[in-house]
Amino acid sequence: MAKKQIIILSLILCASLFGCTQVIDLDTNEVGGKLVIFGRVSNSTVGNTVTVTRTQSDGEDPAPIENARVVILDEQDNAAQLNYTGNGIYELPSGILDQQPGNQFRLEVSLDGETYTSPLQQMPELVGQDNVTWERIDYTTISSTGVTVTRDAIRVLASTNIYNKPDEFYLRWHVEETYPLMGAALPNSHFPFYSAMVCYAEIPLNQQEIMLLDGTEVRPDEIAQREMAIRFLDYTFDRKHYFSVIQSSLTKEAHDYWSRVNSITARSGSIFDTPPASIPGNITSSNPDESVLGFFEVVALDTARTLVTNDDLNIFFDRPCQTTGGEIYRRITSVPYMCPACLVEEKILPEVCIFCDRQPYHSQQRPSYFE
Amino acid sequence: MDKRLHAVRIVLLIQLCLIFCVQAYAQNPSDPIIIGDPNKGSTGRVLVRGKVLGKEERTGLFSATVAVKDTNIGVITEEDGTFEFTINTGSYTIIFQFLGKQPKSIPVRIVGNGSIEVTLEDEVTALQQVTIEAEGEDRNIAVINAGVNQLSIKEIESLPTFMGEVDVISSLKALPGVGSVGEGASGFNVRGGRTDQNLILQDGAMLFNANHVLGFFSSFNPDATENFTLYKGNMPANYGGRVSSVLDVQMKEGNTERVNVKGGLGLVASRLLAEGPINKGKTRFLVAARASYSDWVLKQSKNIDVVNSSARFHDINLKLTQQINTSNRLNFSYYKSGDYFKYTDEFGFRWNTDLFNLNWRSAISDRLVSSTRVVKGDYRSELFDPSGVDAAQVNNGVDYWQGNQTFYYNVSEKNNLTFGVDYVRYDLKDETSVPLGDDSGIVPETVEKESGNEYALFINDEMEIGERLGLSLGLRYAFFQNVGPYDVYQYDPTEPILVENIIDTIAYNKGDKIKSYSGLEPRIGLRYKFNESTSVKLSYNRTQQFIHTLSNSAAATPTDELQLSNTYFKPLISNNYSIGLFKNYADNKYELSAEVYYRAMDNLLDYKDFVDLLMNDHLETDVLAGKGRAYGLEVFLKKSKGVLTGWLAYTLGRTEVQMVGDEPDETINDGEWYPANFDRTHSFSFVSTVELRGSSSFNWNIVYNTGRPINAIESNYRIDGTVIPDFSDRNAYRIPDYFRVDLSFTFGRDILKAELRDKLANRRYKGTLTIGVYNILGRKNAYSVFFKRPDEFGLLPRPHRLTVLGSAFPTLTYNFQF
Repeated sequence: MAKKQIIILSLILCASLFGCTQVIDLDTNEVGGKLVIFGRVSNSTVGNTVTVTRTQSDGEDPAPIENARVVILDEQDNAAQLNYTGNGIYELPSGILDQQPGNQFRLEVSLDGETYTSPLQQMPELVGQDNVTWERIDYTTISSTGVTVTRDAIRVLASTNIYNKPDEFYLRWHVEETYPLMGAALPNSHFPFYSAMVCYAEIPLNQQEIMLLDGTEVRPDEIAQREMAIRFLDYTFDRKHYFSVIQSSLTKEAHDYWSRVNSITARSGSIFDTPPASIPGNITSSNPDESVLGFFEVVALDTARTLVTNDDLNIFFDRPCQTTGGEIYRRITSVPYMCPACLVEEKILPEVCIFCDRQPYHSQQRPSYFE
Repeated sequence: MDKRLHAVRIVLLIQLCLIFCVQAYAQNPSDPIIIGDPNKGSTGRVLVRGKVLGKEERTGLFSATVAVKDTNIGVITEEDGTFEFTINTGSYTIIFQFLGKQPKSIPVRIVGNGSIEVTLEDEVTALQQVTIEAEGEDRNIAVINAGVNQLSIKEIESLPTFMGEVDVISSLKALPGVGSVGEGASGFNVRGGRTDQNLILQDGAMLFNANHVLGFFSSFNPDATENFTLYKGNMPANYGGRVSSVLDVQMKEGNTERVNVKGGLGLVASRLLAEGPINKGKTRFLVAARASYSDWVLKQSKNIDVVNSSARFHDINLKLTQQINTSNRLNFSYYKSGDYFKYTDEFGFRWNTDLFNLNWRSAISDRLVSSTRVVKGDYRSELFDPSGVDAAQVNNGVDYWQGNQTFYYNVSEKNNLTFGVDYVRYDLKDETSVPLGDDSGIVPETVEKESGNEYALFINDEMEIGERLGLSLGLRYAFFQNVGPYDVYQYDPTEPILVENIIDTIAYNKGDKIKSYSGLEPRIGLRYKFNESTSVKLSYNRTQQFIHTLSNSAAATPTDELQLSNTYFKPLISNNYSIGLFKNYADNKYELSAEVYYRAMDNLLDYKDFVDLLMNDHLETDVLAGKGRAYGLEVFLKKSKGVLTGWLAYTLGRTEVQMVGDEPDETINDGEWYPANFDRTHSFSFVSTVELRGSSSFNWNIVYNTGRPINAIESNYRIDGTVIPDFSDRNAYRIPDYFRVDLSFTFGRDILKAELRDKLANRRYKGTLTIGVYNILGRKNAYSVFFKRPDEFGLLPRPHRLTVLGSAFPTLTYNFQF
């Protein structure tokens, strides 16, 4: 074999050295039945909710609990009972409690004869102001088979001015996108009483990425511009598309909790990973033998946004709810008269085109900032 | 339940003992060479003369070592290779050694004045007749202490290895009772001991990190290494300070004859050694260096993260030996090693060791030898995170001084006494965190670290009582003092030890005594020889450890926290028991041993969930102390002679930990015993070499281990949209089992055509080429299993297997010497 061939062969073999990850089957006992309570009270009028669910033994998403009595109390024991809105979510009515930085709140959940309580949590003060921008990029990824893929994307960036530095402060950021979604326009002749829905999707991005800052260790005046999210371009950029960077001022306990969440959700299995464990929260049961998962946090929120319009991008997108054209018209009118639901059942149109408010994080309520 | 387990263990031990006793007969002792005239039966001291010849040179070898095993009799040969000594009549093993030659051990029966002539073969050609034992073919039977494995570099140098680098620690892992967390992990675990419970000595000097590229290679340059001994059972009393094992690596001294150059070229690293005499052999030098160029291999990866990573190392060994006179010898050595490992722009490590070692060995009389050693060591490690607002560099490490005075006193032919004193001064380096780059918002911080003095007095008596019974009685008294400067937090005694319960701080000045611990460490070894080829051994020893490495990652990392015993951390104490049967067959061609061990540990440290140990000035709030136990059976079958040599090792073991505290977060797994994260129920290795022709050989390793324990997901839940797995109790599950086969061929000049071979026969230059494949089956063995949510929205975390070396990996090494 020629020397050159030997070298090339050696290189190919060397290239195969580096490790890989693969999904495997691991025979574990999936144990369900643990109560999960997550609650948040903020200085904002939205997002003050408590979610009550129970883990399932089949490894699926936790089951929502709808018969709990959920109450938020302040330090004077002024109580506000939360209203069940579905899917295990209980919402705090606005205007009952004074949700300002410095005030303290606690959670009390009653369910099946047990009471689940959290200690009083003080709402921290706001310390920083974010400035959000975006840029259009070609985002390149290399697949596991070594194929390079480049796609049009938006990179959301943020810089932060820390204007207030108490001895202790803890921050967390998360990113949301908001865009309108127009329902399909259907022919009046076949669907005379139908009017297309307009929804507003408010979708959290990168939920598995926890962005935290411990102000006792890191105390900058200014945090330089950094990447907050990457979003590939698609039809949702057909109209206005907002990116919101939400900065939460946390308590130390909440910061510790999210740090732990981060340590077990951002894992690579390397020798540097700390062994994972069940995350203890701050909610305790009246039954000392029962362990409860979850956390009750009291945060101060500050939101900064940036807007991307189709004029900025100058791209024509194929809309999923497009109904013009002879073939699609024929198929739409093939369903029974005045039955838009049949379009979904017959898989002629996706559900989001007819009943967009049934999608997670979609609502017909127009956000206040949406001009 | 515990009583029942205890009873089962005792019954097992008794049964094993009975089995051993039944097997103890029907032996064939090998015939020793008779020195003197058997017809003139002399008693008392007689004169033994002799000559050591080099086979290739066909002349006498100057400065060869002639030593009588289990005595302090040792002489150096004259210029013409002759020697003489006086000795009482009796049966002995004489060991002949010369640098660059294969050592020989010859059993003799000295009955009167007489002579012996021995020819030593060159090391390379000596591969034709592989003789694994460095100290007598029946060493495993005769040595009193159980659980001792000695290997020479020659035994491991042709074994298939990762990247072709001959590696001391990797080869140890093929021995029974020795394992590790996974492929490429730092350190090794011996009989249920953690990686920080091994005392690693290089020419008597402690090493705190004996790894390169995290754990893929060890820091011992194989060219500069003479041999290494692992004490995993009974440690003689002159060793102390770690509870689990002692790895005693002896480095070579420069040779007395001529300047030799030796080296090797590999895929990722190369090495070069030069040695020789300076002053007509009175002064000898050895210089060895090794450096990697592994970055080019990383660049071949398809993974962009690996391409942007870096892994480099180097090490240097210098050794000067001065033969002052026939009774006094001075050795000075310097060792330096450095490592750099960077994973993309996310994080990286740097770690360095500097070691100065001065040893004076003096024969005060025929019976008394003194060894004085002074060591200065410096270990520095650095963790860096080069990007982002938290870009920082964290430094820690330890400065240490070691002093040791040991006397070897030959009380009689059958009684050797070792006694002396040890001193170690530890100065842990203050841990510092400094910002990296202009964008970093990290607040510079320093965490004060402690100092400590460890003193020990020891005495060990090895004696033969009659022909069959051997006894090793040792006692070590260790005294440890934790000293200032240091600030010790005081906690409310009525509350748990938590940061919020600190009520005061006591500031100690430099040299102030903070806390002292002391204790006796008995070491007892007993051997009963049923005959020349069968023995049974029992041992008990108690060991104490005053320095700990705290880690809460899956495997040890270079920046793991060193922690001295102090007000809150008591010394780790281990009681180690073992019993074993040792039996040789076919004139010591085959060695078989079966050992049962049990170890009980107190004050074993473990971490609380989710704690951050770096830059933590209140570790006592985050670390728990509990109990540990390890027990198992080790079976070892070794073939030392012939065309096929090697060994087969099997371990059935269990290592468990129990943490019970007053508070819920001080108790792990409800206070039940749980397996340690390196516990492996079954470990099997088959290591072998087949002589092909001359110095050419075919070698293989076959390794199987039960998967190690991990925490696994038992359910999932969502918090604010984030899917969070709910994990099991600690180490409730195991990763898949590990299996690997490696092959290698070593080619010497013997494969050349006869004419060419003859032409080269008289040349000093000799070379061998080793070509091998590591993990030839390309098995994707799991290093770890972690749980990751797939990219698709809504799906739950699934177990993923991380494979470190997931393919067959070729190795190519060219070794040379001239």
